[in-house]
Amino acid sequence: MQTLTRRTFTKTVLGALPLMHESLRQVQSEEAKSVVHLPERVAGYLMTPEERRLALTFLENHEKNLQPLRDRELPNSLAPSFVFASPIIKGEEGAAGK
Amino acid sequence: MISDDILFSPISELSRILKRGKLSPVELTQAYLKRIERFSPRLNAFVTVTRELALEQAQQAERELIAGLYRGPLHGIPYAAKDLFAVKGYPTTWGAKPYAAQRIDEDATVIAKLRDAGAILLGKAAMSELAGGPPTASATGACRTPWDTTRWSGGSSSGSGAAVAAGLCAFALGTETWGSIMTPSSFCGITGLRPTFGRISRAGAMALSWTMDKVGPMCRTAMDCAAVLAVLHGKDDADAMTVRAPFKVTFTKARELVRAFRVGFVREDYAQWGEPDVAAAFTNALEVFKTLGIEATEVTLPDYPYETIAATIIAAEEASAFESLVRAGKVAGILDPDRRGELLGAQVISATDYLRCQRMRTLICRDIAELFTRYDIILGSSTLQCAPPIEASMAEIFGGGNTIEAVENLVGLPAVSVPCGFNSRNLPIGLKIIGRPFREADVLHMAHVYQSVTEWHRRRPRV
Repeated sequence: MQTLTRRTFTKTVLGALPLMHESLRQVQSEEAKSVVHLPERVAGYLMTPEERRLALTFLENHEKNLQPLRDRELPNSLAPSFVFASPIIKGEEGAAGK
Repeated sequence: MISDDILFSPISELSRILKRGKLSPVELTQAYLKRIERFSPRLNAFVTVTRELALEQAQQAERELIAGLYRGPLHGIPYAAKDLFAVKGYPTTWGAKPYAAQRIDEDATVIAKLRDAGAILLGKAAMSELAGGPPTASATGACRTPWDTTRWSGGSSSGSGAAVAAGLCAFALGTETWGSIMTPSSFCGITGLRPTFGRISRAGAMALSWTMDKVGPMCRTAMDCAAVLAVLHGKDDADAMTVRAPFKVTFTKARELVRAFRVGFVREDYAQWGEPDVAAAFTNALEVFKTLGIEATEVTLPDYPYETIAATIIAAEEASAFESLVRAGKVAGILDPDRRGELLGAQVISATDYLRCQRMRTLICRDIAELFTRYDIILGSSTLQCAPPIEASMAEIFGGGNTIEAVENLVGLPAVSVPCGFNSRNLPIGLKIIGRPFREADVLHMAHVYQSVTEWHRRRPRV
């Protein structure tokens, strides 16, 4: 493993900081325009700017696809399928529980 | 020396010669191991070859067969298992770099059942990382179809498909959440069965989506799939979703039986989403059934956003299944950037969105159950394209069409994919036969009858 001297530290880590800030600024600017809210951390993990960008892309697609479903009215009595059925759909033999 | 003809034989044939003592399980296992050594590196079909275990199991099978202790049709038959099934003493990588060193100190239920049936585990087959993603998203590199090694074998049961097609094993185990048995079966020109949800235990297998994961055999023929399912099906207390339901299939009088089926078919938009050769092969398959006295009528699926519902359920469940990976900051080890985004972003999918999709799934299950009061079998194309180049993106491969695939997986219907032709590049094309829940016998009978009058499943690639 390479020893991190003061000089290499300044050159590599500090040198990369402006780049990281720029990247973060870009993501923040994109997020300001976005309709989705993504916390700084997910599952307790602090995402890198690149990971935030990827996660936001996923969530924006998710939002776009889900919106028509949300507009659909579902009856209060309609339960999720996994609550009362195992497996999801019972056939003649499955229902017989043989 | 054992010929290629033997190594490409269906289980039924191998079983017959093993039982008669014309072939020894040790010789057969050694021949497959040699073939794996020779061809697997070109295909990236295996992650781990379990040589010591295979030879040990083969010797035991040989001793038992000589002593007249016959365990059944899988006794002495060598197979491969997708690398998401735990095998004691060997790594279980789930196809992903963050799990490269993972060892699970138990055998998955299916591995134990096959061991008890006398089958011989040759190795762990390659797979897409965490059972999803484009061709290159696998810790062992893109797995290639033996029909053209510049092209993908399909996913996520990539190695299982390639290994069976290349004659590296007699059969393999795969899993499907959304297309992962049907796609590689189609791209590799083999016969794959995705049983009803709850038919086969998933205990000891990686979970991607608890409400959608299924385990199934990938073989050379429908009869072989039946032989493997006969061993694997059944209730398992270690998987609460499993059901005790009988499975019996004899294949006698199959033609008479299938002639009584009410058969439908789904017409895909091949012009927009698929290949003309796939469309032509599907039309030809309908013609074959017609000559057998089976006239299929077009099915109209109830109108639902099936793909959005399936995608949301899988994303939310996988976010939970791999929460610890995210928490540990190891998502960076996932090769596919889109998947990294999904694993991270899906952590904040709302419970109401997830439940909305599961509630709509209830409606879908009811409507599809109603549809199946009018049909016994529905036919479709396993994939709308043939094996794509390794560089292809997910959007290029699965960009659209094949809505029925999301339906089948949301509802948990059984289906079998059989080869039904080849395109102009000599790449195999798959026909999908979908049935009612727990009626695997119906889809297998239908597939068997098709295979008894066609030769597509007998073709072998030149590796």
